[in-house]
Amino acid sequence: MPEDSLSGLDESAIDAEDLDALHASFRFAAIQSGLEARIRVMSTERMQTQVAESFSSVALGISPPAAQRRGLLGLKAASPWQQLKIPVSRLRVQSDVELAREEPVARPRHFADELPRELAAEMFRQVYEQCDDCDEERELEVVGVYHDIPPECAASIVLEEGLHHARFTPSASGNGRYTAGYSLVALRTESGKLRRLLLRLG
Amino acid sequence: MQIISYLDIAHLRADSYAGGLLSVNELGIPVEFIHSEQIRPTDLQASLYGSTLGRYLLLDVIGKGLAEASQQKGAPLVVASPDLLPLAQRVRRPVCCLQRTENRPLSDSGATDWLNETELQVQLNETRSPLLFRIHSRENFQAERTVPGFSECARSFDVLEPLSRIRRILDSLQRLQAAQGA
Repeated sequence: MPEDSLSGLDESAIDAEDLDALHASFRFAAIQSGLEARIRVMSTERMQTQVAESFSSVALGISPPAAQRRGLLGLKAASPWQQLKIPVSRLRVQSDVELAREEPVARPRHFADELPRELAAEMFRQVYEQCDDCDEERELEVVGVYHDIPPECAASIVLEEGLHHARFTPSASGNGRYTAGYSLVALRTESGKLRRLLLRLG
Repeated sequence: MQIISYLDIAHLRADSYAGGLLSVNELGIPVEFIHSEQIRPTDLQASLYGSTLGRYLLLDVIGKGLAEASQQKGAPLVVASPDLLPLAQRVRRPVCCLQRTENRPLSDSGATDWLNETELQVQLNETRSPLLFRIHSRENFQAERTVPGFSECARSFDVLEPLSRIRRILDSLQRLQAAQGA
Protein backbone atom coordinates (compact mmCIF):
# COMPACT_ATOMS: atom_id res chain seq x y z
CA MET A 1 0.00 0.00 0.00
CA PRO A 2 1.53 3.36 -0.95
CA GLU A 3 2.27 5.87 1.74
CA ASP A 4 -0.21 8.69 1.85
CA SER A 5 1.17 12.15 2.03
CA LEU A 6 -0.22 15.53 2.87
CA SER A 7 2.32 17.36 0.82
CA GLY A 8 0.68 19.35 -1.88
CA LEU A 9 -2.63 19.48 -0.04
CA ASP A 10 -4.69 22.28 -1.53
CA GLU A 11 -6.84 23.84 1.17
CA SER A 12 -9.11 25.48 -1.29
CA ALA A 13 -10.11 22.06 -2.51
CA ILE A 14 -11.53 21.19 0.88
CA ASP A 15 -15.18 22.12 1.10
CA ALA A 16 -17.16 22.90 4.21
CA GLU A 17 -18.34 19.36 4.67
CA ASP A 18 -14.81 18.10 4.57
CA LEU A 19 -13.69 20.64 7.09
CA ASP A 20 -16.45 19.55 9.45
CA ALA A 21 -15.19 16.05 9.13
CA LEU A 22 -11.67 17.21 9.73
CA HIS A 23 -12.73 18.96 12.90
CA ALA A 24 -14.50 15.88 14.14
CA SER A 25 -11.51 13.72 13.57
CA PHE A 26 -9.13 16.08 15.26
CA ARG A 27 -11.39 16.45 18.23
CA PHE A 28 -11.24 12.73 18.46
CA ALA A 29 -7.49 12.64 18.11
CA ALA A 30 -7.21 15.22 20.84
CA ILE A 31 -9.39 13.22 23.15
CA GLN A 32 -7.34 10.18 22.48
CA SER A 33 -3.97 11.44 23.32
CA GLY A 34 -3.81 15.01 24.09
CA LEU A 35 -3.06 17.08 21.35
CA GLU A 36 -0.22 19.23 20.44
CA ALA A 37 2.10 16.75 18.88
CA ARG A 38 -0.70 15.90 16.56
CA ILE A 39 -1.34 19.47 15.59
CA ARG A 40 2.15 19.64 14.14
CA VAL A 41 1.18 17.00 11.69
CA MET A 42 -0.94 19.51 9.89
CA SER A 43 0.77 21.25 7.12
CA THR A 44 -0.89 24.62 7.04
CA GLU A 45 -1.48 27.42 9.46
CA ARG A 46 -5.14 27.53 8.62
CA MET A 47 -5.61 23.96 9.63
CA GLN A 48 -3.76 24.52 12.87
CA THR A 49 -6.14 27.32 13.68
CA GLN A 50 -9.15 25.19 12.92
CA VAL A 51 -7.84 22.36 15.01
CA ALA A 52 -7.10 24.66 17.94
CA GLU A 53 -10.67 25.91 17.78
CA SER A 54 -11.87 22.35 17.72
CA PHE A 55 -10.00 21.52 20.89
CA SER A 56 -11.76 24.27 22.75
CA SER A 57 -15.15 23.11 21.62
CA VAL A 58 -17.17 20.37 23.23
CA ALA A 59 -15.59 16.98 22.81
CA LEU A 60 -17.65 14.75 20.65
CA GLY A 61 -16.68 11.55 22.38
CA ILE A 62 -17.29 9.46 19.31
CA SER A 63 -15.04 7.05 17.54
CA PRO A 64 -13.97 7.41 13.91
CA PRO A 65 -16.31 4.60 12.88
CA ALA A 66 -19.17 6.36 14.60
CA ALA A 67 -18.20 9.60 12.95
CA GLN A 68 -18.18 7.81 9.65
CA ARG A 69 -21.64 6.40 10.22
CA ARG A 70 -22.88 9.85 11.00
CA GLY A 71 -21.49 11.15 7.79
CA LEU A 72 -18.64 13.03 9.34
CA LEU A 73 -16.03 11.00 7.58
CA GLY A 74 -17.99 9.93 4.58
CA LEU A 75 -16.51 12.20 2.00
CA LYS A 76 -16.49 12.59 -1.71
CA ALA A 77 -14.31 10.20 -3.57
CA ALA A 78 -11.93 12.75 -4.97
CA SER A 79 -11.46 14.72 -1.79
CA PRO A 80 -7.95 15.26 -0.48
CA TRP A 81 -9.41 14.37 2.89
CA GLN A 82 -9.50 10.80 1.66
CA GLN A 83 -5.83 10.75 2.50
CA LEU A 84 -6.65 10.81 6.19
CA LYS A 85 -9.17 8.07 6.45
CA ILE A 86 -8.74 4.39 5.98
CA PRO A 87 -11.17 3.69 3.20
CA VAL A 88 -13.29 0.64 3.86
CA SER A 89 -14.44 0.56 0.27
CA ARG A 90 -10.87 0.12 -0.83
CA LEU A 91 -10.42 -3.14 1.04
CA ARG A 92 -9.40 -5.48 -1.70
CA VAL A 93 -10.72 -8.96 -1.17
CA GLN A 94 -9.52 -11.96 -3.09
CA SER A 95 -11.36 -15.23 -3.33
CA ASP A 96 -9.43 -18.47 -3.63
CA VAL A 97 -11.15 -21.58 -2.38
CA GLU A 98 -8.64 -23.81 -4.15
CA LEU A 99 -5.89 -22.34 -2.03
CA ALA A 100 -7.85 -23.31 1.07
CA ARG A 101 -8.46 -26.81 -0.26
CA GLU A 102 -4.74 -27.36 -0.56
CA GLU A 103 -4.43 -26.91 3.16
CA PRO A 104 -4.58 -30.25 5.04
CA VAL A 105 -7.66 -30.91 7.14
CA ALA A 106 -7.02 -32.54 10.50
CA ARG A 107 -9.33 -35.13 12.02
CA PRO A 108 -8.95 -35.90 15.72
CA ARG A 109 -8.44 -39.42 16.95
CA HIS A 110 -11.23 -41.27 18.68
CA PHE A 111 -10.72 -44.49 20.56
CA ALA A 112 -12.81 -47.54 19.86
CA ASP A 113 -14.42 -47.38 23.27
CA GLU A 114 -15.62 -43.86 22.54
CA LEU A 115 -17.78 -45.04 19.67
CA PRO A 116 -21.44 -45.88 20.13
CA ARG A 117 -21.78 -49.61 20.70
CA GLU A 118 -23.41 -50.37 17.33
CA LEU A 119 -20.82 -48.39 15.44
CA ALA A 120 -17.98 -50.11 17.26
CA ALA A 121 -19.49 -53.54 16.50
CA GLU A 122 -19.80 -52.63 12.82
CA MET A 123 -16.22 -51.42 12.75
CA PHE A 124 -14.83 -54.61 14.31
CA ARG A 125 -16.93 -56.74 11.95
CA GLN A 126 -15.46 -54.98 8.92
CA VAL A 127 -11.94 -55.11 10.34
CA TYR A 128 -12.19 -58.87 10.84
CA GLU A 129 -13.57 -59.30 7.34
CA GLN A 130 -10.81 -57.35 5.70
CA CYS A 131 -7.96 -58.75 7.77
CA ASP A 132 -9.12 -62.34 8.00
CA ASP A 133 -6.77 -63.53 5.29
CA CYS A 134 -3.67 -61.93 6.75
CA ASP A 135 -1.79 -64.65 8.64
CA GLU A 136 0.69 -62.45 10.37
CA GLU A 137 -2.00 -60.16 11.67
CA ARG A 138 -4.06 -62.39 13.91
CA GLU A 139 -3.77 -59.88 16.72
CA LEU A 140 -4.80 -56.44 15.70
CA GLU A 141 -5.28 -53.49 17.95
CA VAL A 142 -7.43 -50.54 16.95
CA VAL A 143 -5.30 -47.55 17.89
CA GLY A 144 -7.41 -44.81 16.41
CA VAL A 145 -10.57 -43.99 14.52
CA TYR A 146 -10.79 -40.79 12.46
CA HIS A 147 -14.24 -39.84 11.28
CA ASP A 148 -15.43 -38.49 7.96
CA ILE A 149 -12.44 -38.79 5.72
CA PRO A 150 -13.70 -38.72 2.14
CA PRO A 151 -12.50 -41.74 0.14
CA GLU A 152 -11.83 -39.38 -2.78
CA CYS A 153 -8.97 -37.97 -0.71
CA ALA A 154 -7.59 -41.33 0.43
CA ALA A 155 -4.33 -40.86 -1.43
CA SER A 156 -3.49 -37.80 0.61
CA ILE A 157 -4.09 -39.24 4.09
CA VAL A 158 -1.24 -38.79 6.51
CA LEU A 159 -1.27 -40.14 10.04
CA GLU A 160 0.43 -37.77 12.38
CA GLU A 161 3.22 -39.10 14.53
CA GLY A 162 1.64 -39.95 17.85
CA LEU A 163 -1.59 -40.66 15.98
CA HIS A 164 -3.37 -37.68 17.50
CA HIS A 165 -4.64 -36.59 14.10
CA ALA A 166 -5.08 -37.88 10.58
CA ARG A 167 -4.74 -35.30 7.86
CA PHE A 168 -6.04 -35.26 4.33
CA THR A 169 -5.94 -32.68 1.59
CA PRO A 170 -9.32 -31.79 0.05
CA SER A 171 -7.74 -30.82 -3.27
CA ALA A 172 -6.64 -34.45 -3.67
CA SER A 173 -10.22 -35.25 -4.59
CA GLY A 174 -9.62 -33.73 -7.97
CA ASN A 175 -13.29 -33.43 -8.81
CA GLY A 176 -14.60 -31.50 -5.80
CA ARG A 177 -16.69 -34.45 -4.60
CA TYR A 178 -16.47 -35.58 -1.02
CA THR A 179 -18.40 -38.61 0.19
CA ALA A 180 -19.41 -38.61 3.83
CA GLY A 181 -19.63 -41.58 6.17
CA TYR A 182 -16.14 -43.06 5.81
CA SER A 183 -13.80 -43.41 8.76
CA LEU A 184 -10.14 -44.19 8.82
CA VAL A 185 -9.27 -46.98 11.23
CA ALA A 186 -5.65 -47.24 12.31
CA LEU A 187 -4.57 -50.73 13.41
CA ARG A 188 -1.38 -51.95 14.99
CA THR A 189 -0.29 -55.47 14.18
CA GLU A 190 1.52 -57.94 16.43
CA SER A 191 4.76 -57.01 14.76
CA GLY A 192 4.16 -53.33 15.50
CA LYS A 193 3.33 -52.31 11.97
CA LEU A 194 0.61 -49.80 11.38
CA ARG A 195 -2.24 -50.62 9.02
CA ARG A 196 -4.92 -48.28 7.77
CA LEU A 197 -8.40 -49.13 6.64
CA LEU A 198 -10.98 -46.76 5.26
CA LEU A 199 -14.35 -48.13 6.28
CA ARG A 200 -17.88 -46.99 5.71
CA LEU A 201 -19.39 -46.80 9.16
CA GLY A 202 -22.92 -45.82 10.05
CA MET B 1 -25.80 -28.04 4.06
CA GLN B 2 -24.47 -26.68 7.33
CA ILE B 3 -21.85 -23.97 6.91
CA ILE B 4 -19.61 -22.37 9.52
CA SER B 5 -17.41 -19.39 8.70
CA TYR B 6 -14.15 -18.60 10.44
CA LEU B 7 -12.38 -15.27 10.61
CA ASP B 8 -8.83 -14.51 11.61
CA ILE B 9 -6.84 -11.33 11.20
CA ALA B 10 -3.08 -11.49 11.37
CA HIS B 11 -0.92 -8.66 12.62
CA LEU B 12 1.98 -8.83 10.25
CA ARG B 13 5.33 -7.18 10.12
CA ALA B 14 5.62 -3.43 9.87
CA ASP B 15 2.24 -2.83 11.50
CA SER B 16 0.29 -4.24 8.62
CA TYR B 17 -2.71 -6.49 8.86
CA ALA B 18 -4.33 -9.12 6.69
CA GLY B 19 -7.51 -11.07 7.25
CA GLY B 20 -8.91 -14.33 6.00
CA LEU B 21 -12.41 -15.76 6.13
CA LEU B 22 -12.85 -19.48 5.57
CA SER B 23 -16.26 -21.12 5.24
CA VAL B 24 -16.49 -24.87 5.59
CA ASN B 25 -19.30 -27.37 5.18
CA GLU B 26 -20.41 -30.03 7.64
CA LEU B 27 -17.37 -32.14 6.71
CA GLY B 28 -14.97 -29.27 7.34
CA ILE B 29 -14.23 -28.97 3.62
CA PRO B 30 -13.71 -25.39 2.42
CA VAL B 31 -16.57 -24.00 0.36
CA GLU B 32 -15.23 -20.44 0.32
CA PHE B 33 -12.04 -18.66 1.21
CA ILE B 34 -11.55 -14.95 0.89
CA HIS B 35 -8.73 -12.84 2.17
CA SER B 36 -7.80 -9.20 2.25
CA GLU B 37 -4.65 -7.72 0.92
CA GLN B 38 -2.29 -6.38 3.51
CA ILE B 39 -3.38 -3.10 5.02
CA ARG B 40 -0.82 -0.81 6.49
CA PRO B 41 -1.99 2.44 8.03
CA THR B 42 0.15 5.47 7.43
CA ASP B 43 1.83 7.34 10.24
CA LEU B 44 -0.73 10.07 9.82
CA GLN B 45 -3.62 7.67 10.12
CA ALA B 46 -2.00 6.06 13.14
CA SER B 47 -1.66 9.45 14.70
CA LEU B 48 -5.23 10.47 13.96
CA TYR B 49 -6.85 7.29 15.15
CA GLY B 50 -4.62 6.88 18.17
CA SER B 51 -5.28 3.88 20.32
CA THR B 52 -8.50 3.08 18.45
CA LEU B 53 -6.66 2.36 15.23
CA GLY B 54 -6.25 -1.38 15.81
CA ARG B 55 -9.86 -1.83 16.82
CA TYR B 56 -11.06 0.19 13.83
CA LEU B 57 -8.91 -1.76 11.41
CA LEU B 58 -9.82 -5.15 12.81
CA LEU B 59 -13.54 -4.57 13.13
CA ASP B 60 -14.69 -1.95 10.67
CA VAL B 61 -12.21 -2.31 7.89
CA ILE B 62 -11.08 -5.91 7.65
CA GLY B 63 -13.59 -7.89 9.70
CA LYS B 64 -16.69 -6.21 8.43
CA GLY B 65 -15.25 -5.94 4.95
CA LEU B 66 -14.61 -9.66 4.71
CA ALA B 67 -17.92 -10.62 6.31
CA GLU B 68 -19.79 -8.47 3.83
CA ALA B 69 -17.80 -9.83 0.90
CA SER B 70 -18.53 -13.43 1.88
CA GLN B 71 -21.14 -15.38 -0.01
CA GLN B 72 -22.10 -17.28 3.15
CA LYS B 73 -23.84 -14.40 4.81
CA GLY B 74 -26.13 -16.39 7.07
CA ALA B 75 -23.52 -18.77 8.43
CA PRO B 76 -22.36 -18.38 12.02
CA LEU B 77 -19.02 -16.66 12.23
CA VAL B 78 -16.32 -18.00 14.55
CA VAL B 79 -13.71 -15.36 15.25
CA ALA B 80 -10.17 -16.12 16.30
CA SER B 81 -10.04 -13.63 19.12
CA PRO B 82 -12.51 -12.15 21.63
CA ASP B 83 -11.38 -8.75 20.35
CA LEU B 84 -13.39 -9.47 17.21
CA LEU B 85 -16.65 -10.22 19.01
CA PRO B 86 -17.99 -6.65 18.56
CA LEU B 87 -18.35 -7.61 14.90
CA ALA B 88 -21.72 -8.88 16.09
CA GLN B 89 -22.85 -5.27 16.06
CA ARG B 90 -21.75 -4.83 12.48
CA VAL B 91 -22.84 -7.97 10.66
CA ARG B 92 -26.11 -9.87 10.54
CA ARG B 93 -24.94 -13.31 11.51
CA PRO B 94 -24.20 -15.05 14.79
CA VAL B 95 -20.68 -14.29 15.99
CA CYS B 96 -18.79 -16.28 18.60
CA CYS B 97 -15.31 -17.09 19.82
CA LEU B 98 -14.61 -20.68 20.84
CA GLN B 99 -12.33 -21.96 23.53
CA ARG B 100 -11.53 -25.44 24.77
CA THR B 101 -12.20 -26.30 28.37
CA GLU B 102 -11.25 -29.14 30.64
CA ASN B 103 -14.56 -29.11 32.41
CA ARG B 104 -16.61 -32.17 33.13
CA PRO B 105 -18.87 -33.15 30.21
CA LEU B 106 -22.45 -31.92 30.39
CA SER B 107 -25.34 -34.33 30.27
CA ASP B 108 -25.87 -34.90 26.54
CA SER B 109 -24.47 -33.90 23.19
CA GLY B 110 -25.93 -30.50 22.33
CA ALA B 111 -26.52 -29.57 25.96
CA THR B 112 -25.81 -25.95 26.87
CA ASP B 113 -24.97 -24.28 30.14
CA TRP B 114 -25.02 -20.49 30.36
CA LEU B 115 -22.24 -19.26 32.62
CA ASN B 116 -23.25 -15.62 32.26
CA GLU B 117 -24.76 -13.29 29.66
CA THR B 118 -21.91 -13.70 27.21
CA GLU B 119 -20.52 -17.16 27.87
CA LEU B 120 -22.02 -20.57 27.51
CA GLN B 121 -20.65 -24.07 27.57
CA VAL B 122 -21.82 -26.42 24.87
CA GLN B 123 -21.41 -30.16 24.82
CA LEU B 124 -20.59 -30.94 21.21
CA ASN B 125 -19.12 -34.37 21.74
CA GLU B 126 -20.54 -36.99 24.05
CA THR B 127 -17.30 -37.97 25.72
CA ARG B 128 -15.14 -34.87 25.66
CA SER B 129 -15.13 -31.62 27.57
CA PRO B 130 -17.61 -28.96 26.55
CA LEU B 131 -16.51 -26.01 24.45
CA LEU B 132 -16.79 -22.49 25.78
CA PHE B 133 -18.69 -20.18 23.45
CA ARG B 134 -17.98 -16.51 24.04
CA ILE B 135 -20.50 -14.25 22.40
CA HIS B 136 -21.28 -10.56 22.17
CA SER B 137 -24.97 -10.81 22.95
CA ARG B 138 -27.68 -13.41 23.17
CA GLU B 139 -29.72 -11.53 20.60
CA ASN B 140 -26.99 -11.82 18.02
CA PHE B 141 -25.97 -15.40 18.73
CA GLN B 142 -29.42 -16.99 19.03
CA ALA B 143 -28.10 -20.11 20.71
CA GLU B 144 -31.22 -22.19 20.14
CA ARG B 145 -30.84 -21.87 16.38
CA THR B 146 -27.06 -21.75 16.14
CA VAL B 147 -25.82 -24.48 18.48
CA PRO B 148 -27.45 -27.41 16.63
CA GLY B 149 -25.43 -26.52 13.54
CA PHE B 150 -22.22 -26.68 15.54
CA SER B 151 -23.29 -30.03 16.99
CA GLU B 152 -23.87 -31.39 13.51
CA CYS B 153 -20.46 -30.25 12.29
CA ALA B 154 -18.72 -31.48 15.44
CA ARG B 155 -19.72 -35.02 14.56
CA SER B 156 -17.25 -34.85 11.69
CA PHE B 157 -14.56 -32.41 12.70
CA ASP B 158 -13.06 -30.38 15.47
CA VAL B 159 -14.90 -27.08 15.07
CA LEU B 160 -11.86 -25.13 16.25
CA GLU B 161 -9.48 -26.64 13.72
CA PRO B 162 -10.30 -24.49 10.65
CA LEU B 163 -8.89 -21.43 12.43
CA SER B 164 -5.42 -22.96 12.29
CA ARG B 165 -5.83 -23.44 8.55
CA ILE B 166 -6.57 -19.75 8.03
CA ARG B 167 -3.48 -18.76 9.95
CA ARG B 168 -1.31 -21.12 7.90
CA ILE B 169 -2.74 -19.76 4.67
CA LEU B 170 -2.19 -16.15 5.74
CA ASP B 171 1.37 -16.99 6.73
CA SER B 172 2.04 -18.63 3.39
CA LEU B 173 0.51 -15.67 1.53
CA GLN B 174 2.73 -13.32 3.46
CA ARG B 175 5.81 -15.37 2.64
CA LEU B 176 4.76 -15.44 -0.99
CA GLN B 177 4.32 -11.69 -1.11
CA ALA B 178 7.62 -11.15 0.64
CA ALA B 179 9.34 -13.39 -1.88
CA GLN B 180 7.73 -11.55 -4.78
CA GLY B 181 8.74 -8.22 -3.29
CA ALA B 182 12.33 -9.30 -2.76
